[in-house]
This record gives sequence, structure tokens and C-alpha cells, in this order.
Amino acid sequence: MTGARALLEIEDVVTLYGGGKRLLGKPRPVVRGVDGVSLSLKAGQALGLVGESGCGKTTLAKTILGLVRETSGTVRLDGQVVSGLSVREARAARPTIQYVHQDPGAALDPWWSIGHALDEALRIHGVTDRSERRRRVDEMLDAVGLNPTFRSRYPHELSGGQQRRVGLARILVLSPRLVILDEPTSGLDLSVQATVLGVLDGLRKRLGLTYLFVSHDLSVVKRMCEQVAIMYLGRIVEMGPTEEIFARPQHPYTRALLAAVPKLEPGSLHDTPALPGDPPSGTTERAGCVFQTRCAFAVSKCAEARPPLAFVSDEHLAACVRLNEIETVAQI
Amino acid sequence: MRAILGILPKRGRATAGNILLGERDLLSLPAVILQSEVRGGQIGFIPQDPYQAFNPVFRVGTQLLETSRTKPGAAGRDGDKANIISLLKSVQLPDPERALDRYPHQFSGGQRQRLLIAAALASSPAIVLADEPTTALDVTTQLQILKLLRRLTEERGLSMLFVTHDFGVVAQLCDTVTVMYAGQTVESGPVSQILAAPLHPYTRMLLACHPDRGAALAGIPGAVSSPLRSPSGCRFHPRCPSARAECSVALPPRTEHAGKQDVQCVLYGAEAAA
Repeated sequence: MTGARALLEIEDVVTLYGGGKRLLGKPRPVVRGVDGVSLSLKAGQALGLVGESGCGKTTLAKTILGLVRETSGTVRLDGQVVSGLSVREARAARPTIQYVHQDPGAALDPWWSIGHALDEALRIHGVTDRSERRRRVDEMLDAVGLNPTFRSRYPHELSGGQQRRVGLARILVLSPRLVILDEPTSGLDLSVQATVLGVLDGLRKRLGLTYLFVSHDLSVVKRMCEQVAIMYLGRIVEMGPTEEIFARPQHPYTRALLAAVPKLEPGSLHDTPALPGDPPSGTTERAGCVFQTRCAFAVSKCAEARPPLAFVSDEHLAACVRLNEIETVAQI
Repeated sequence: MRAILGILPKRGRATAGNILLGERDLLSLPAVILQSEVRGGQIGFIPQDPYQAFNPVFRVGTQLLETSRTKPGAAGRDGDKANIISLLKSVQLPDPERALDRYPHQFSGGQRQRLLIAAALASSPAIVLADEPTTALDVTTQLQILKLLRRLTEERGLSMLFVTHDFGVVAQLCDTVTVMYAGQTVESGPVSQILAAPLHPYTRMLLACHPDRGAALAGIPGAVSSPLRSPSGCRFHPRCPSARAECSVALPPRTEHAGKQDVQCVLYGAEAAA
């Protein structure tokens, strides 16, 4: 395994929800959860997946995990095609991908001690030797910064930050290579968030993990990821190296999103233009660019065809028909 | 915040001090007056979660008009309705006339927060309490709401107490800030001053935890103590790197620095006295 080879590659993945027929009446509307997404993730990398609620971040994450079946497209893990399988087969084919839930406190059984919960994960994954399981559980608790006494504690005795560490330990004990972190710090206060991010960053470097970091918090993504992909309504509108995207955002949506982050320097709200309206519903069929309804730069050709992701520079891609004009138009 | 509104849970009560609104001490007012004049009267309240603040089975109009109906001096049904519709216009809700006949689920999160802001303003309050009103929203929607709040407070000469854990929002929206830790205020003053030069160790460490600021992601060691076993003296002393012996004895007096920055910490007591 070299650093240059992609650990995960997905190509033109589409995940639709609904569409089934009801016994009587109209068929259910189709929700285009993920609408043609391609991306690749190199081993050891952290990719931030950013977008508003309902844009399909979690659906994409669950499709990659194999928990939701993709409608079309290819998923390649370590060069092997692992798509086109049933949900059960897909999970079996992707054991090295694991998922950390948004709220690990809710994902832990209140009646089970922490040790029991971690032990179960290993048992399910076929580690039969009890002392081996015990050793690995202790090791992993230590790695996330909890001492072995936590083994006999129960979820309600832990703080939010400790619960997140346990959630993480339960996944890492299975030695995954790709960890999908779904909003790992939402709902935490600043101090606990900093601790959890510190632990995540340290573990990635120590264990050589690859992260898919799903978040709507741009400051956190900027801090944690080398690569970032911006999603809007099921599609990736821009992706590339984090530094470059934050310094030179190209897509109008990325620009609006970055401008909306409350900065620590006192400023005047009146000077920041807000994006008008709400994202349109995921059920409507869209011709052309998905963002045109809210875009300050929209022109008639935006409605004609869906803009493909085009190279802005070496690794930086954006999907906008006015890519070359935006910078100049925005300055006027 | 609940103490101001007089809606503390049954077991809680404000045991000392005053809460002055104009000249009146809210703590000594009878419950009837609080209900008829203060809550939803002189004080408006914007709750945290726009998804939970509405009853899903009643039309939005019924819920928005309920507040003004229960207050004395209401302008009558049509007057109230006209008032609410004009407020819905000023919070920039699309299609305000028809909004009142719709149900909560027909609105997005940002739109519901606009409805709640209109409800808080319905009684022309002097002050609005906003409890993390943008925490449940996306950044782009948050920006819309923050801009709206800023405009409304400026246009109406309204005061706002904005509760949040997001320093970025404070920096963008507020004029002054008070930092609290475990039930005690530790520092307060003009936003620009506190962001540029925080004095209290807690404020400093908290700001250093912000992903835009901190050199290393570390967090503050230890955890907030249980309210049942609060440390004596300054409640931050068990986690404070600059703690001294006297910190556990008594809370230091509030001292003023650089004009308007108030801080409660022994580190700054001596300077101020000198």
C-alpha cells in the first residue's frame, strides 16, 4: 500500500430514496439523496465532506459504508469493486470501513458497561480468545485517553466528550482503515470539541487511519482535513486541497458558505451578503445546475445543462459554467 | 435566563439579588403580573429549537395569536392579526398573509425561527431574550437570522440578551459579552476588547479552543464540576493553571480594566487596587 494509491474510489454514485409504488394512488416521490458523486480518498488522508443539512452528506457516507444500497455507480475499496451488492454482502465486503455515529451517547446501550460494549464489537468480528479481547479493549481505551477503570463504567457516568471517545474506541478496536466520522463534534462545547479533535488527529497519525470527515462546521474541517469536498443537494460542487479552497473558493456556493461562517474578528453583519432562501426540495427533478435558484451569479445557461466538475488548478475542481468569470464578476 | 422570566423549575428559586427591568424588581413581582405584563409583554423570548417550539397539530396563526389574546389591552382579533402579518413581513417570511393558515411542518427551520422572532416581537417588548436561536440552523441560514436580528434591534431600538456558546456569533452580532463559568460570571466587557485581550484564564483558554485560534487542539483539562458539588471560591480554580491558594477560599471582587472590561480573578485584583 503506497500513499499515492487510492484506498477508496467512488464513481458516479447515485442513491435514490422512495420511488416505490403504494398499494393505491400515486407512487412515492423519488428523493435524489446522492446524485452522481465521484471522489477518491488516498490512504492516510482526511477528506472533509461539507454541506448544509439535507444535502446528502450522511446518505453518501452510509452508501460508502454499505448501509444504504447505491442505485448506480461503482465503489472501489483498495482497487476491488465492492458495489452492486446487497446491503448484507456490501457490509461483508467492506469490513475495513467503519462508521462513528453523530451521537455516540445514543449509540451506547445504557445497560452495558463500556467494557462489555467494546468486547461485543470484537466478539461479533470473530475474536474468540477472551484474554486477547480484553487486551485489545484495554489498549484501545488507553489510545483514546481513557484509563482501564472505564471498562466497568456505564454510559450515563461519562461526559459527552468521554462518550465520543468510547464511540471512537469501539470502532477503532476493529482495526479499520477508513473511518467515517459523522459530525464528530456537533453538540459539544468548545473545550470538549478541542479535546476530541486533538484525540482524532493524534490517532490518525499514530494508526495511519484514513478519515472521511462529515461536518457542516467549516472551521473544524479546515483544521482537520487536507482535502475538502463541498456538497449541495446531492452533488459535489467543489473539491480540492483544503488550503486552496479556503483561500480561493471558486463555486458561488462555496463562496457563500465560507462567507457565512461567523469569524472571530468583530465585524459588521451588514457587510456580509446572506444567501437568499432555502435549498430546494430533494424530490424535484432538476435540469442544469442545482444551485441556480439561490445563486447571485446565475445566468440563463445555468438552466441548460448540469455543469461537470472541471479543473481549476492541479487538484482543485469546481462545477460551475461561469468558473472563469466569477472572480472578475464578484469584484465589481 | 429562566430566573428573569420567572419560569424556574419548581425546585429552583432566585434566593438573592435583584432583576431590575426599568425600575421594577422582577423577583418581587407577583406571578400574575409576571404573566400578564412581563412575559410576552415587556420581555420577548426566542427559544433555541425552532423544530420543537411549535405544536405540530395547530395552525401557526393560532399559536402566534395566542400570546396577544391572553394579554390585556389586545387590539382585538383583526388588529392582532394585522399586527402579526406586518411582523411576518418585517422578518421577511415569504407569503405572510397565507402563513398563518399553515402548519409548522410546512415551514423550514429558518422560516420557523423567523416565525418565532415575530412572536417574540408581537408585544413590542423592550428586551428580547434569545436562547441559542441559531444553534439548530445551518451556517447560511444562521447568517440570515443573525442579520435579521441585528436589523430588527437597530430599527426598533430593542435590547437583546443573546445566549450562545459560539464566539464567532458573538463577534459578529453583539456589542458586549459576559462570559460565565459554572453559574458565575468571570468576565464581561465590549466584544472587541475581550476577543483581542481576554483577561480571565477561563476566557483565554476557551478562546484558545476555537479551531480558528488554538495553536494545538488541547481543550481545557478536567471537566465542569457537578452543580451539586461546586468548588468553593472561584469555581474555575480546580482547572485553572494560574490558581493560587486563595482561589479556593473566596470569589475575588470584580475589578475593572482598560475602561469597561470587568473581570473576577485574583490575578487582576492587585493591579486594580494599586
